[in-house]
Amino acid sequence: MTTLNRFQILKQQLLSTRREISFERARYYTESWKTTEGQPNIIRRAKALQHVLANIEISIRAGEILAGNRTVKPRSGIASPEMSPYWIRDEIDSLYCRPQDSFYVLPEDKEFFLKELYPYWAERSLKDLIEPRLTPPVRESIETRIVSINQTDKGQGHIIPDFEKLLNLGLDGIISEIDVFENRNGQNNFYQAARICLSALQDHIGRYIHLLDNLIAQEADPARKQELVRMKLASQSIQHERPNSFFEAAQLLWYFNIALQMESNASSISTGRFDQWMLPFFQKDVAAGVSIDEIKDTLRMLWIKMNDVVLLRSRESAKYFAGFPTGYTIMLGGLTPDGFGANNELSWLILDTYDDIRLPQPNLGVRMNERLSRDFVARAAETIKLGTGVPHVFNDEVIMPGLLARGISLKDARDYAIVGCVEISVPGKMYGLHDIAMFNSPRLLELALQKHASEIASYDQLITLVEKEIEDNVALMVDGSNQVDTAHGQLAHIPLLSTLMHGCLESGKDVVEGGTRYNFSGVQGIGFQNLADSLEVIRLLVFEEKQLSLTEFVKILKNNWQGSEKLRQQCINKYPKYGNDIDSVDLLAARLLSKYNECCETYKNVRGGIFSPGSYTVSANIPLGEQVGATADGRMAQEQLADGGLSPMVGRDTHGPTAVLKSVSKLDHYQTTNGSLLNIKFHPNAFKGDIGTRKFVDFLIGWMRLKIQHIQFNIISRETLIDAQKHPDKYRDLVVRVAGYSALFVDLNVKTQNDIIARTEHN
Amino acid sequence: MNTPLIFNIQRFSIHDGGGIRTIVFFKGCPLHCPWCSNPEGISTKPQLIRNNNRCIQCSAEDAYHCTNTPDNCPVNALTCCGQEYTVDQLVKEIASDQIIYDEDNGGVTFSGGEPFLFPEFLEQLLSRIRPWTNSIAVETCGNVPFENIEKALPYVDLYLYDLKIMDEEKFRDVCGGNLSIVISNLENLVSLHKNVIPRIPLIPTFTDDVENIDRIAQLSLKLGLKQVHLLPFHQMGSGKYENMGMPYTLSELRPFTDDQISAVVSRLESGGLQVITGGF
Ligand code: SF4
Ligand code: SF4
Repeated sequence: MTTLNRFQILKQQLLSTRREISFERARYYTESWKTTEGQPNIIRRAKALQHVLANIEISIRAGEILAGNRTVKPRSGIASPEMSPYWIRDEIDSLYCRPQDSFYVLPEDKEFFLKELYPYWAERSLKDLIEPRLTPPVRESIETRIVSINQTDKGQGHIIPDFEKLLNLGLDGIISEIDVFENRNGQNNFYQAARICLSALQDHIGRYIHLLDNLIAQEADPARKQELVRMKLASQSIQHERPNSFFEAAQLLWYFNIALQMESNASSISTGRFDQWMLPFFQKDVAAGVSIDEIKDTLRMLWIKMNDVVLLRSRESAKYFAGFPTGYTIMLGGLTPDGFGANNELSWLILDTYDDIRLPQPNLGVRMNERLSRDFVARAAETIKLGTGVPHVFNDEVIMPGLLARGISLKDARDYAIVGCVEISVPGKMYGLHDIAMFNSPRLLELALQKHASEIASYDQLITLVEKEIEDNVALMVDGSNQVDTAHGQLAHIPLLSTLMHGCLESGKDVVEGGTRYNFSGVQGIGFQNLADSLEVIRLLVFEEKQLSLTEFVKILKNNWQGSEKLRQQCINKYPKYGNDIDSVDLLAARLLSKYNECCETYKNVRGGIFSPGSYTVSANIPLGEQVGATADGRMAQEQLADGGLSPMVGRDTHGPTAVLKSVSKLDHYQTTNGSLLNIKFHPNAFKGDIGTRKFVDFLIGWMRLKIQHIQFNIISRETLIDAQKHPDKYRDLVVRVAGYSALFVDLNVKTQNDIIARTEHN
Repeated sequence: MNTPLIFNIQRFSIHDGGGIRTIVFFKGCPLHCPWCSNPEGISTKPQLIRNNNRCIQCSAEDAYHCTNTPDNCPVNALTCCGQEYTVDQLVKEIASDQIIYDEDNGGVTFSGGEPFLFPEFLEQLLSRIRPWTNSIAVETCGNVPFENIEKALPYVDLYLYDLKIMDEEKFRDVCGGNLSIVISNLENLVSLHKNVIPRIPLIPTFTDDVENIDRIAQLSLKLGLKQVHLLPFHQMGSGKYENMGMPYTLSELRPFTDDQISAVVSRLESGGLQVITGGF
């Protein structure tokens, strides 16, 4: 098998199979849980993981050169009823025909779930622990759809373990470290649980060794036999000891990742700065004469594997995170601990091999700064031009000062990486609860106007009201988030992952109990573009031109502009809109987002950290839009909100991409330390050829100097997307940018597809 | 001072001149080429544009019959083309993208219409932006008194200089221009400035005959110029004529095939010129 051919076959295998749900993990987890009643939850979680890893069916698929699969069938979802059995029960019949992220459930599995799993977990799940904790005002804020609280029915995830430590110590090394701290601090449940998990993982690797033995015995093809032997030797080598080669490092990394998936089944246990900590292995191999092609194959295999893990979410959640943003997010470039540009040979190889595979994962990002070599920026631009939206780009020049202001040390700030889509984190040191809540600001304005329109006599009064509402609702969002955080602390321990987080072994506490160094809760302000656009229309139309009264206007909005199309058009076209470099409205957006940011950061969470504001939507601009009636900016009821978090409302930016950058740059990017997101779409003609790449680099440098945190690109023509919508079979492997992540276009529902098609295309 | 109206400020232009550029379009041109893709740049006066594609028929059957003013049209189907700017205002507009076009040879291009119809205004503007602008380019048809061009000389990095029809009479009849002025201005300019690039609009039946192309090549080579830009005909500007109520006479012309374009390119190259098709 030629090597590229191998990966094309593996890729096709991923894309062509029907996604199913495997209830195996749930089965063994539940079996174990039933036998551990009365024991501390952290121990129960560890034993459940142990039972899963000891029994779950394992496989080596044809052609694979790295071992470790989360499920036997490709791209299957796995369920965790211990978090919430309810949505699975409610949706089990519609999972296969739902518009987003469909999964097939075998009839026998359905029966097993309804008869065995559901009755056991009802009343016992995380959801049951959270629900009674939410106070009536918090509930109201959730029910009125201003605030949405996440992770009430699933593990938290959104964290970057210290994989460097894993590779430097090996599994036995970590166990010895536990011994050291246990001797110092005395025994406790966390240490015990961590040890159970690590040895369970070692046994799990032992099962693969055994499986490989059998496969080797049966294999007739000598070439394949050799590959299997190599996998076996690597597995034996890293079952206890630290890896000795790039290949072994990759193998250990992947086994550990599989176990982390089994532990929490959570989204975005991200990879971090792969090109930094894999570099020593790369250099050692190269010095020892290992060929670059062999290293490239290892990378390609890893990238394929990262696409095998897809997350089963509820119908609602799948709308917010459409198309499987699993979150194997890798950051390239950035800075060294001493503050120099950190791109290296491996960073280039990662882009080269990504170009060969072109799937949504790994979600590559580049950390750009003044000291990063321009030739690497140009290289990254070449990959972006392929059109998959990978890599997206982060700006060290603004993100680092933001982190420093949050009390992160200089060395740690230089080491930041991205979790999931755009969440800013410190690998191995931060439990940021990055996606704990979202704050729907246009909905807030809608309700405030419906309640108070008749009392508002001036524009200033209106702004004061909006600011007051922001304050009140942030308080409720904080309360709700803290309740979820507390419940996770009681029932969602992740002792295996905690062994790779600084501070946990030292303090003897799991990350969910606040064991690690930096503890934030990340909360997203959404739709401030629509909010500012709407308030600007009201300011001019109602208070300055006095064309109609505020109550009349609110009535028109309530009727969804019925009979007022001319007025609606006027509101769209005749008043300044965010995204066109017009100060009046841009600065209003900035003021209100800052208000939100400053409210959030005054609150403490239950792990001793603060609330860290962000502004990104993932794909939530569509479901959150469905919850908002007509808005004064001319938006119809239920229409999507502005995408990204920073991007202008679709179709409202008419002055080109530089004007968009200028508008976006007026928001305070030093404050949104949880992350933010800007989408820009270009026609492929815009940056054609080498001269085009050079202009693209110019554009990125301008973006960097404007101190904008993030940017991502869709470089694909509208015609291609429309054709792909019509003929999905022709475009099975078309990867597009959604929001902080890329997805297979055919994996997205029609609404999300339309949203991407409608984004302003610059030429 | 002769103050221009500006009919467009296009930010993030990446197809005219190097790098990322802002293009300022001056309203008013001494010529009237029938293929002009910016016909709104020909008259120096403000003009009403009716873009019927946008019309939602709120007050009339279509934009052509509408008696509303641009202010009253909710969808901007009616717009007024040509806006007055002071030098200060224009400086501010040009500065807004400075941080982005600062890299390599990005900058500002003055186009139109004909920027050199407004020499004093242009000189004031150029002297203001020169200290902080990377690259300044001017597109000109050359059909102006040389002193108009001369005033700007100390400030400009690059001239994009139109060479269209090289037959005195035909040029006068078709475009209303004076070829000997255009040529003598070019000679003067080249003797004073090292960065001049002829631009050739390649228009079927007007400029594409072999003789015309050869004459352009000969003149360029004689003046020691190394590079020319070739801008093949397209119909993209045709809708604007309709919107402005101006007659458009070239609707029957078909764009060139790639082969036809390459033939012209080879012909120019065979004489030793470097050819860039479609500008930079
Ligand atoms: S010289 Fe240029 S701007 Fe003037 S009419 Fe001809 S093409 Fe149009
Ligand atoms: S005002 Fe505008 S939209 Fe209404 S009829 Fe006139 S041109 Fe059409």
